[in-house]
Amino acid sequence: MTNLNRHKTIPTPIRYLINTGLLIALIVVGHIITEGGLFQIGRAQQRIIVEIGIFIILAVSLNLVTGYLGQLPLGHAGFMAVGAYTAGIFWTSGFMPDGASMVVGLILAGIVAAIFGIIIGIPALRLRGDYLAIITLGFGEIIRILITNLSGITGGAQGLQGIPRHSNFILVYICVIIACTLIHMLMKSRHGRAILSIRENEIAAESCGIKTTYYKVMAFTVSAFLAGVAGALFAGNLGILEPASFGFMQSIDILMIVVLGGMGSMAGAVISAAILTSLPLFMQGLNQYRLVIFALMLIVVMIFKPSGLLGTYDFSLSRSLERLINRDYKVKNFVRKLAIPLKRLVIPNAPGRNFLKFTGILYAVVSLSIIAGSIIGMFNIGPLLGVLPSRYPGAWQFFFILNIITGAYGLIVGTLGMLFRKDVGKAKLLRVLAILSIWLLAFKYLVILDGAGLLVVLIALPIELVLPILFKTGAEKNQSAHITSISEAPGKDGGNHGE
Amino acid sequence: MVNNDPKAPLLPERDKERNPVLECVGLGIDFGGLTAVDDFNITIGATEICGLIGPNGAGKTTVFNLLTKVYQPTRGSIYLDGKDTKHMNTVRANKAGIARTFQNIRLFKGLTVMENVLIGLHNEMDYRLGGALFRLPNYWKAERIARERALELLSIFDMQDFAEHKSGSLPYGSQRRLEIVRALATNPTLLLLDEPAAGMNPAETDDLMSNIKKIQETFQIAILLIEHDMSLVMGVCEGIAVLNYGKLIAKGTPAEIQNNPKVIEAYLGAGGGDDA
Amino acid sequence: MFFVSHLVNGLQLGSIYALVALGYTMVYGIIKLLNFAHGDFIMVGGYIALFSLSTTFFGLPPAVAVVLTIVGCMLLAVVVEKLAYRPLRNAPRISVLITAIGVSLLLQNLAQYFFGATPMNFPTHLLIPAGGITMGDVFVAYTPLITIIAALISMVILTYLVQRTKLGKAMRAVSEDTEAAQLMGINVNTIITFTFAVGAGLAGIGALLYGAGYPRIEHTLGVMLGLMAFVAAVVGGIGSIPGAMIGGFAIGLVEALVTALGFSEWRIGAVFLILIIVLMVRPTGIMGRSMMEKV
Repeated sequence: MTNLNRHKTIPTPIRYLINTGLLIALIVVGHIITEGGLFQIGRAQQRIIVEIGIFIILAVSLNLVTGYLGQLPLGHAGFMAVGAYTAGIFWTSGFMPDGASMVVGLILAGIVAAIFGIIIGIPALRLRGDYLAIITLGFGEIIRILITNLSGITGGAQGLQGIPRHSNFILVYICVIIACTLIHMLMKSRHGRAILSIRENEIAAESCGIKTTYYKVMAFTVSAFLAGVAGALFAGNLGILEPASFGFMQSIDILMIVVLGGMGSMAGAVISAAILTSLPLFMQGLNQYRLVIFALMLIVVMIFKPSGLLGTYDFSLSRSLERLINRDYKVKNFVRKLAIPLKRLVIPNAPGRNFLKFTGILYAVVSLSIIAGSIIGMFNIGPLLGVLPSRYPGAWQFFFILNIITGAYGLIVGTLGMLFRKDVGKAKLLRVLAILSIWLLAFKYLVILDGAGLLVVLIALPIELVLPILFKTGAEKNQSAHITSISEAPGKDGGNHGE
Repeated sequence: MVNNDPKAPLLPERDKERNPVLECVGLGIDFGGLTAVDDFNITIGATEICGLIGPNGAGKTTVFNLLTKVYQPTRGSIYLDGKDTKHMNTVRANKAGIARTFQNIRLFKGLTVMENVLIGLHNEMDYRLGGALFRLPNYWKAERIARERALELLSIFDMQDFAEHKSGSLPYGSQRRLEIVRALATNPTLLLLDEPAAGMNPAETDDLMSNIKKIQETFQIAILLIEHDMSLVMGVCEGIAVLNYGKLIAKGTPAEIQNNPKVIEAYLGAGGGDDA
Repeated sequence: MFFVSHLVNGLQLGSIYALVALGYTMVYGIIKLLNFAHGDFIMVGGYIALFSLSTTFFGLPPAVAVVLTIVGCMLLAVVVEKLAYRPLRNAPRISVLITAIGVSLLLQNLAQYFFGATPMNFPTHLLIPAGGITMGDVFVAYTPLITIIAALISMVILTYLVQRTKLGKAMRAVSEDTEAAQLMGINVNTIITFTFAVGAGLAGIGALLYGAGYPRIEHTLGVMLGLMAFVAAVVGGIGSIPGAMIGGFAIGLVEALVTALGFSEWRIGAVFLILIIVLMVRPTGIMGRSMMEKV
């Protein structure tokens, strides 16, 4: 690395200046857009934009414990609830004049949630991964039950009402910035490194003199604090609270955001939160499938990229600027970097370069057609294109195309996959997923599919099922558990295999 | 000569004036019905390089785990720099001055080389959470000093140019060396090396030998190593203890051990052959 | 009478928990996976049983319905194992847990999609005749009686399978040391699939008994049931078959006790409190063996 001397770095104070300037600009612009009446954003949309900010805070705070610390707590919504109710009760009690009470309420919410975090964290974090998951789930539920049953203070199952709507764009997004800055400052310090070391190898961390329980509780508490603040903002956004909205499903929703965005990537969490929270806005026709689609996405992403879509990538404006200054960019590298996660998602462990190209193209075509189909379906432009019969309403156009394509796709890739792939397991999953989705809808909407689609389905499925038996190759035989060589035995220390 | 007296003169001359860095008296541990280590006694001088050898499964790594308090001993005592480690756990043991590497490398694979060493320097940096969050001056100072120190340590093995590489992407030998650097970063008085030469060719092993000696001279610390490579052991150790089935069967200088019939029997008799 | 009826309730509930907990514990023992979706297997089983028995749908004879339910659950488990868990055999634990959560969500929402969100009524009388036996001045209905007996018989058969057959030995081998088992020529994948199947079969039996005793079948059935049964498995000692049985009955009795004392909303709280205490005091559970990690 002899060009270290010629590498121009941006000095730290200027970095801070650039970042601060950018953030201020974002806030000002955002405020003007949302509340300045420029684009006539309705109340409902405003509320969703605020909600995006709330979920960003929830996601980055959960990411601290899942992505950076490497644990899996399933009770995050419990901390959110604690914060929400603390703020709600504080704000409705009229304890302080409006201006001051807004900020005090937020901080109070965070602190109370943090206290719960310490109480729960100290016993829970001594346990191993799976147990931690269940115990935090339990605590989350207990919090919810407590809230429901202490109806004197919390309004019980009917909920708390009349909370002043403090949460506007500026308040929420300043909190977002504070939250992200907090976490960033934490992670780029020795405490943050300690937290990462626990994720990487807890025993080695201990042998380096790192108090693992202390740092686990620290991360957990900071995460709880931020979740509490987010909960308070949530209360201030909705105006009413009910215990049902803080159950296990809410924790899972937040977890999904973090997992899909990339565990260990703050940028990923932010982007993922923004997209997933605003999705109901764009997917109105598909709302009933939201959870099915998300569940499927969760499974598929876990299988193909266990660290989440953006993995542990952390965006740094200064770093990107440095690259620009030093002309340290090659378009080819950039494209390749973009393509790698895409390729990994779509072509797991594919051997053989030609086959790679072939399936790569095929997968790309399929993915693009699914996207195209959904756009056609969502915006009802099918009839305009003369592509689809106009009797199919909104979302069914999406599924109609999905049906045809996945049927054909399943057939082709299935055959080729069985013949060529070594890692048949994952390819089979994709194929079966494709076929499953066909049957899912065929089952209920057999009457809507017209002849062509139905034909493809009916032909594809039986061939798909018979093919494996006919073409059981040597590669597939190796898939069963006879050891092919000792050196290929799976690693024991939980290392990522193939990712 | 079998030498089982804990206070036996395994101490090199230069260390006779100082307290021994490690003293084990009657150390033993049982796992359920199995006695993994029994009546282990050793005294290691303040700057001595000592070897712990024995056939596979003899309990050597178990001894390391006992010393670093990963396991709590069932009987016996460990004195580190004169202090009884009875109520310590791994973290406190490290703060008390004992650092180790592992048989299966335990690096922080997702982190860079520099970050791995900085984690070793964790307790040397003195700013608290507030200092980190608000980027107070003591944060900047501590981080700068730590990074300089890390590069210094990495230069022992000539690894300073790899500081920003992901540690998981290093070749095997470099990973082992990085683990040693990380252990050194914790500022120990006793360094435990678990099979540091595993997977190394003779040239690398030679390098390792001179590095171990260099570490001992530069840092003036004691080193206890487990090793199967006899050229390394005989070349670098001043005292050697031999374990078999959890019991000490011999202790002495390399020359004494080489000619000890019990040691030869333990290796050959166990079907191990010669492991050089 | 009061005492006995609550005792019977507790044992009935406990039997179902025990059957479900056995499934959890067997899968955990063999691949160290907490199958979050296990409770949802029962939900699916419940629906299968309902559709087979109910005269509004297929109206099959009870024997056929029983077989269909058990086989259906086993098939589902095998499919899930092959598609979702096997590719992740070597992935980090978090990923597998998340996938399990994903599968659980998927099953619940598919069920809601297909069968709607309103609960359906399980035709208990088609499976177990009404009435009961009277011993002295104590009346015990057939349903709880058969539930408890069926659960006990299943456990006896399972214990026999695991302790006395070659297949059982293979299962134990794989759960002790997967690599060594492979080296001994055991087909690990088959054993794992088989374990899933057996666990799910027990869940199927549990589904039938659950439907008979608590005739509300809805898509969220599996969530609470799965959670409680999981607690039972952990309390009894995860990985231990007798532990799951003991844990199941214990949790069932606790739940009945809490309800009897009038605190039924706190059922979940009480059960989790027990979980927390057990995990703090004796993390390996009542019957568990401590596992030392090799450093």
